[in-house]
Amino acid sequence: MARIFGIDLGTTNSLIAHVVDGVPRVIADPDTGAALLPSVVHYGNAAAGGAAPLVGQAPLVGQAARDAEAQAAGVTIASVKRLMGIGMEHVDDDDRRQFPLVEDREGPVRMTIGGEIVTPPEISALILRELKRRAERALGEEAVEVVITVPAYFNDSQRQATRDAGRLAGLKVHRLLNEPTAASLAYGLDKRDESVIAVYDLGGGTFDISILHLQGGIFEVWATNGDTRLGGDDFDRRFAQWALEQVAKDLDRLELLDDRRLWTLARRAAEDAKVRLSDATETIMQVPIPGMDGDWRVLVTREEYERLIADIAERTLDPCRQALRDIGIDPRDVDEVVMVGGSTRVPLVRRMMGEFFGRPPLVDIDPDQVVALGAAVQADILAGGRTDVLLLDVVPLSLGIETMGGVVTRLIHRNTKIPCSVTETFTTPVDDVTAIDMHVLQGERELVRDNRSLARFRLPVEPQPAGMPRVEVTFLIDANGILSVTAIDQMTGREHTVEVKPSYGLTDEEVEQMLLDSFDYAEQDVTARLLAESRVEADSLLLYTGKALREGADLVSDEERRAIEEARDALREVKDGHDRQAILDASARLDAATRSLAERLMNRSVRQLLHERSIEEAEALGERRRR
Amino acid sequence: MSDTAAGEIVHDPDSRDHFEVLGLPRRLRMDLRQLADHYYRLSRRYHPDFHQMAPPSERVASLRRTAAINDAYATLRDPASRGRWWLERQGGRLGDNPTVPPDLAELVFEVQDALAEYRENGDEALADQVRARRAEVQRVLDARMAALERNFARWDMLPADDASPEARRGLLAELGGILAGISYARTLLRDTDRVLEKAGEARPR
Repeated sequence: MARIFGIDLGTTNSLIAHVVDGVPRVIADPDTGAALLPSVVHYGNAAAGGAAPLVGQAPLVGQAARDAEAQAAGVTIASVKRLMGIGMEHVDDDDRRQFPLVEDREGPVRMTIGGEIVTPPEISALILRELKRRAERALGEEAVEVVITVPAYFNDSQRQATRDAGRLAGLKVHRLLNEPTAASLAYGLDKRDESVIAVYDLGGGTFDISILHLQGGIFEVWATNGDTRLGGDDFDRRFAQWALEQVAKDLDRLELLDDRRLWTLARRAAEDAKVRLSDATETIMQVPIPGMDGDWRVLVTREEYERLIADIAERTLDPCRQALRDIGIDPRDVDEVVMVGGSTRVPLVRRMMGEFFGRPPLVDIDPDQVVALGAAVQADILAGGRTDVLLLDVVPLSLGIETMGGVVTRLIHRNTKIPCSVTETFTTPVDDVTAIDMHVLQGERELVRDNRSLARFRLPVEPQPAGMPRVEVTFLIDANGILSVTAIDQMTGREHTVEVKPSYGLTDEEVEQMLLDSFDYAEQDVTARLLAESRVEADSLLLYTGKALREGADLVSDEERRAIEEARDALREVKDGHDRQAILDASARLDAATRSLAERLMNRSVRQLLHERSIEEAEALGERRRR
Repeated sequence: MSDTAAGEIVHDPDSRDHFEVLGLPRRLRMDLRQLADHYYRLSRRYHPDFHQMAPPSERVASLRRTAAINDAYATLRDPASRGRWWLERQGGRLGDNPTVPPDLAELVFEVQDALAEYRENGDEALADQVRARRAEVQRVLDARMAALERNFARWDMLPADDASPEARRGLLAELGGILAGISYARTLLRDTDRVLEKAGEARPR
């Protein structure tokens, strides 16, 4: 059985876990015993901007990077999750203060480090690679297959960016799993009674609220909502800003407010003080000031701190209300409130949620580890390790397309169960057009400009009078919450491969090129690995085809059988060669040839199953009637 | 010419047979509990999570089948969406802006008046009036939902081979009317609840 790991790729900390003897366990660093890996990357170089570019050296990742953050030299990137899958139109001044952004007006976010362009997925890949190494050192075997968690409210671009990061780290990402759902899995694994739970997940940078229904091993998400730009980091920034303003006033040095390094130090001090105030009712916050001996100090009470952050914490209430409204239930209908994420340790947050739901929230689960543990359980399910538990998740945001007049026509509503698909037929509004442009968006608003652009694609058509062309487009959202599009031209019957260009992400070519360019991928020959992968897939496909032709002998026509055998032979011919593209193309052809047979086989086996079931039910019904 | 244009959607009637997809008997009346259990059973069989290690063809089949199951369950689970789906399958069409059913018309005006007054003056007494109106709308909705169930029962009693096109037309017309009323009532409730929620927030703790 394959071994698949669960990864929590968090804003502040990341973890890797797996299931051992049916129990999920976090894999600690074999040297330090640390369970958490700070999601921090540090490029150190004595001469910033010197001859050797910063990115030429292996960067520090984790605690060492966090420790190096206070140093003057080098560049530290923390909380890169904030930048994943978004565009330059979405960054704010705090982001500009914190990250070395390339000042584009629009398009995907990029950073400049030591004269090189670095994208957020590449930074996340470094963190993932470190987790991979941790598992390999601890277990003495390769770690490649993973499940990675994402905030439930992450949109398609943000999910794709996470998946790209996994690929760049040399991982096979089996699934992207929503964080609150993962937490519910870890929490509810042993519970079989029916219940409704709310998972309130306030992490470093993102907030999710999910309402789930648990019953007999089924974890069904009813509604989800959140804010991907809201988290503990915002508490820290507010606190740090307040502290800096005090310092600048006290010392009469307004220029301190623009000091980037001081801003970093202030945020760290704010974070430390926040942690202390979760237990103590007052604490001293101290910040080292450049040009001053000793630190600047101030006494802060918990009350003062809560006043400072109250409005930020209150921002979490609206998503909670909306989620409950979407399913028409009252806060008091929730049986249990599960708190996830380090920031839920803040007493104000716990009080607020206790009041909102009318019951004390559950706080005895480790809010730092629960997501990783849940991811490990899901990984176990995917690997075939257990079948008693199943997660049924939903898409968090409505999906639509731009239609005439700058309006969004909604195709898939938020909280629709995934996988889901919608098929619509499109035509042209004017004569002789050669292509239909489609713009896909996510969000709940009516106008294009108020929603988040996801991607664009183009459907070629024959020039015809308006209204004549007919292209049937299927939008499919898979179990990762990621969109794929297929299109069939109804006039020609031809199926288009739709190349969807992401608005804020990397194309497949770009990721592959990065993999090939990546200098410290000296561990393996990338080309050889990709070739080997394509051969393994081809072998599995050939095996399946043989089996399908045997089992479904009575379901195929001679013509179809011939087509399948032809495609199979074509794949066999190229499989052991060195042309990876030829293998991929031949595999795709065989896959397409067997697809409809696969459906028929599946239909037959379920009809069998239902037939058996209906006999059971009829018997049970007969029983009941007789009583 | 090579210019392109934002496509227009040609409305495709829903061609999916949800009964077939879920393997259910062709009956409009259903027990929601049993429907849910059935849905969970099918999910356990087809969900991509349990086919993750299978070859691509099987994974694709599992994905498509589960999408169809999810769509069928979501549609059938709410009696109103079930009714809308059935109406369209039978060749009926729910208009985009159906006229307000006469018995609802007066209530609609009363509720909208109460909401408008509350928005302007916002005192507790007015909020209570809005709540009272809301209760009335809920009663109307409940009555309509019961009527829907009765309509379903009559469909289920029609003989399998198309006996009387008259009976069918009558049932369709009745169904359309009930669905329009439900849609209005639900919209009213949603609008009222939104206003009441704000009232609840404004109340001092």
